[in-house]
Amino acid sequence: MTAATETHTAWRPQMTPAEVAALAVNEGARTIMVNRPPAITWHKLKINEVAASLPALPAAARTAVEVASGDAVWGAEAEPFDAALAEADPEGHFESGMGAEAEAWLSAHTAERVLVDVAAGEEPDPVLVHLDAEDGAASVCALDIIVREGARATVYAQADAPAGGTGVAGFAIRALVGEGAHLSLVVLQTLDDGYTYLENTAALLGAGAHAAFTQTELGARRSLVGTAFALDGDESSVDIDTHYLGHGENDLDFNYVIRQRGRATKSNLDANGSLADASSKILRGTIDFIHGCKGAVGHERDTVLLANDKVRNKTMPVLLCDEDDVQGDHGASIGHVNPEQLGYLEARGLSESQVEALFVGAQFDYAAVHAFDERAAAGVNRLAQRVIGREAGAQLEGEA
Amino acid sequence: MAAEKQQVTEVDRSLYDFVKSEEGYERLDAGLTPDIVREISAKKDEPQWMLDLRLKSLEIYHSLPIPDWGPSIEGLDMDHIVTYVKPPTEQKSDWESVPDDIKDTFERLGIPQAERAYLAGVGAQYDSELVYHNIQESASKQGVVYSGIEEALHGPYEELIHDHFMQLITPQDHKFAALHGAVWSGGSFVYVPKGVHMEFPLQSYFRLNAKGAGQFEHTLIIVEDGADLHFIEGCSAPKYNVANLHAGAVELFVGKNAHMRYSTIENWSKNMYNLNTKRAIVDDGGTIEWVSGSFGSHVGYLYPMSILNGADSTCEFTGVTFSGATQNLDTGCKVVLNAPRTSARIDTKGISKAGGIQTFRSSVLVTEKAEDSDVYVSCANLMLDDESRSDTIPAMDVRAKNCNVGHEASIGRIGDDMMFYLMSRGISEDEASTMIVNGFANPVSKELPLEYAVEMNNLIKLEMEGMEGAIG
Repeated sequence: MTAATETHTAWRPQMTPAEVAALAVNEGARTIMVNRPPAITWHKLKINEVAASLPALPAAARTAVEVASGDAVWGAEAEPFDAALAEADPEGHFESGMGAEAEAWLSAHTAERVLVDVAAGEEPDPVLVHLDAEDGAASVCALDIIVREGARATVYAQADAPAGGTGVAGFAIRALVGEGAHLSLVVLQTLDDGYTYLENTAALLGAGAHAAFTQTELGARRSLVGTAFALDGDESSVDIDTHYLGHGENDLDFNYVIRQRGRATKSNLDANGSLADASSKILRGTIDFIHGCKGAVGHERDTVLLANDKVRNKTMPVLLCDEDDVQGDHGASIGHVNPEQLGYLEARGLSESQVEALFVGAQFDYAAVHAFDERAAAGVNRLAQRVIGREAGAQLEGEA
Repeated sequence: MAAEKQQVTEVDRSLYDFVKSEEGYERLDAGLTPDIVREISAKKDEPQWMLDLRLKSLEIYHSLPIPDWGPSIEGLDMDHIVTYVKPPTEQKSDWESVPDDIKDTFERLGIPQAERAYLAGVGAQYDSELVYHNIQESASKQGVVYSGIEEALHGPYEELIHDHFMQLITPQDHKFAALHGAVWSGGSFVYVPKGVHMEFPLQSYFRLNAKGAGQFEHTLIIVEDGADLHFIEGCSAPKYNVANLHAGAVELFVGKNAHMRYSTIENWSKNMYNLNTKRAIVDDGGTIEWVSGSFGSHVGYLYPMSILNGADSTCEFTGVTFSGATQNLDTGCKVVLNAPRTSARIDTKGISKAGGIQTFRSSVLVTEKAEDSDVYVSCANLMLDDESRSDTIPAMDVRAKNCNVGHEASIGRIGDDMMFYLMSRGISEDEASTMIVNGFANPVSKELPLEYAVEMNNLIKLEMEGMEGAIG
């Protein structure tokens, strides 16, 4: 008993490699476990992971994925990214937020792969990728992004279901951001309630690299979102800005894993959302300061507005720290409209329910303002009409 | 700032680390069997319901998994833990009747002196049995009951105990609650009648002397409506090269508009597996305050839980955990807000050094009933070197709309600017770091009675010895 015992940092093993391999074959309904954080807690809280029961679905036609603009390879192979990854990540730090089971399932149901490969020092026009979910199918877009040394890339991606229907839609995003490179990645999800959405992101950053990741999750009956960033290079950094809205009986489940290995790395995770009706949400956010990341800084925050008595919110903001020379903090603020705001708005003639609707609608308004093209704006407005009965950005009826 | 890192040297713990002979002690066989459970029950001449509870708990123990979410307890082999060790004496109510070596132990720990100075009553447990229990006459006259729980089981309070014992902490809760239910021995029963305000605290002190043994005391406290009690718990043990186990249980029932403070300075030896369970349930307008200092143990799982079951009830938790070489302490708290206008404030500090692992773990549950409630959790962790580890794993589950839940946590090291400021005024690096750590833990020590605050600060000083050069 001379050394302190180790803390468990993973729950029971996920599926065996053979079982995971079987997931890579598209046959039959599957239940997979996803979004396990690196450190777990009491199982009774039902927060350590989530089960996703996925029906037997054919992969959607390749045309479900469209590169609307920008320089990207539609119909790419995985090999170029795999080769770049092998070179950039000899120690195998690359991981995804949802985990191996989701990776395998998404791989088996990929409709099309898009490769964005930006040469060193280049700054091409933004790439726009649209995924229009196909009714009765699994519509998965694999999105590989390589931003080579000193380059800058902007990638917009939207998962939408303009034709309605039911099924599963998702993105499997892999990103390598080279030394001194910059990636701006924006993902918008505006699916109808007939869909389950999977968004699995894995990214690795080299020295001095920066990633800005904006996520907006507005629709889908169930959204399972896993995001992992490996800040391997010294002075690499990531800003994650997440906006979400729960409505109806929608479930949202997020898992963020930020591993800070490089010295003087920086991370910032800022999640803002509203939960209305009988929706529910789980958000796990882990910042892992790995031994040797001296001078690293990490912040995370989840701000949640609860707009109905039937909503349910779980938040698990985790800091893991194996290095003394770091600064880490996390916060969560969960509650109703604060009394000052409520009083101000009620004094101007709004009822409490109207105030709640105003805050819920604000998520659509924000998304509309930041929509990156007409199709993105159309998706936001279609969903806004259905959920709040107005177009995003329009005045609330009767609002003072 | 000089920042050469080094491992801390072993500190002098002779104040707590002394061993007494076990000659004449009764030890049951190591391990866990129904026969051992029956034997413990028979020795205590318990009612049938208690034996039934023990045997049922043993079944549950064998059916439940070992926790897989916290520190490893692989070094704890229940087949080698002796669950019952009885010193060669019965419970006494005056120190002069306590055998000399046991009395000497408690005198070295300052318990009789503390009783004379400022306590309303003291219970002292040595291994598996209480050896001393006494309450001041003035408290008795107010109707306060403070006795060994086994003694109370044979008196007029049996029915009350039956109605409360392991009702808050059930054997199904987790594996070590079940273990406790099977082999519990010793501990205290406190009953504070309606409206009685205890002017001075009661204290229980637990000493585990036996090598390779477990201590499983049960503390049951009922504070009736409008009453007020401060209860202090202390513990220590000598260090052995084999595992010892502490799996006690504390159940607190706080009545309407009652107030209770439960203070603990935990200083088990560093071969101890401390798998303790504490829980309070609070009625309308009641208050539970936990003040907790965790310094000892090899592995610790400790999360006092407050169930705010009455409207307008409140909870405050103030804790500090100091984890040094060979220690992996997983501490924190749980709060359930289950009534309107409840509120909870949680303020914890964690310090890790010399390869120690410190984890803050919490859960906050706000149920649908907790309208207009609020919770605030603050957790700050200080790392004193780059050999140590500090994790923060909070979880919040909110099911009510009109509530506010706030959580803030931070991790970092002692700032160079603070060290420079103190050292530029002639304070040595060692003293400066101790001062800063003492200041960091001040929110806890200021909540303790002076004598205990001094003890806690001494423990910090003890832990900081040898850290010279280790703070960067």
